[in-house]
Amino acid sequence: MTALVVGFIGTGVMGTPMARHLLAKGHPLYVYNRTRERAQGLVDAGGCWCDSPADVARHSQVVVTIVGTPADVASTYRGPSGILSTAAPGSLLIDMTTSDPELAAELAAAGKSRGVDVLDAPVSGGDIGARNATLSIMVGGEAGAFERGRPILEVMGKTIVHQGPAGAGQYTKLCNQIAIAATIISACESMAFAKASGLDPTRVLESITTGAANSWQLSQLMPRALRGDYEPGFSVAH
Amino acid sequence: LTKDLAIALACAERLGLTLPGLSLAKRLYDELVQGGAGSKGTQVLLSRYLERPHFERP
Repeated sequence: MTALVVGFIGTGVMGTPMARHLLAKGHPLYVYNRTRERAQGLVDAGGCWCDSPADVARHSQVVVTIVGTPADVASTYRGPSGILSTAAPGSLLIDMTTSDPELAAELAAAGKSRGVDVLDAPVSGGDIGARNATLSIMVGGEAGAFERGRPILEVMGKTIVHQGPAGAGQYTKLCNQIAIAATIISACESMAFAKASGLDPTRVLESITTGAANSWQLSQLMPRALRGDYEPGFSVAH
Repeated sequence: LTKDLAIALACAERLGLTLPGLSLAKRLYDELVQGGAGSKGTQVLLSRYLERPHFERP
């Protein structure tokens, strides 16, 4: 079977390694990014630069997007230079941005009226998961579209679950973020309490990360924070 | 994180759901952004507790 022609829009810290996996699997790749320089590495690796999302979609059987915000998703899909303006009937669009579930449902409906399938498929696992192709991919959309998209998603991730109709992937990602948000607070408060009570917080972690209190935030993030290492895996303002 | 939490809070509101833990997290992380730590990793929250341990005495 000939490798599907894939379009990739959004070549940031997540998108770039994800797109590289697709190239490595032999998929011809058409690339667009708002800041062209940040796509240069992929172009050098064999990707074809396009001047707009519409141009990417014109060349591709499957288009993957992973951009910044819901507003960026909307402008990437809609409008005269958007993907939906040129995507051929029968093509598949996969938005992997963390975005608004209602927008995902709207885009899926807009696609359907043109004979185009749209999946929402946000990820967790961070830049490390993107580099190692071990992402968890949470998918919303029609079952048939999910099955068509699965081989592409399997190139980029390890845990790929169809959660329900359009928007369900986004709702699932928000479940993930809600769980993370409060867990970081509790991890920080535990460490602040350890320090205030005269304990060595790092040694406290040795004891409490082996039991019911453990979390990725406690075992992976707190050692960094205690060293004063605040470099982003995932940034506050993102 | 604040971008995602804003989406989550808007969705919770649409669903008629009150999530005090999520609201607190959003407020603490918004304050970090206002304090200039937006580009830091989410673990920077610890610095608030260690540098200003009484910042939120009710």
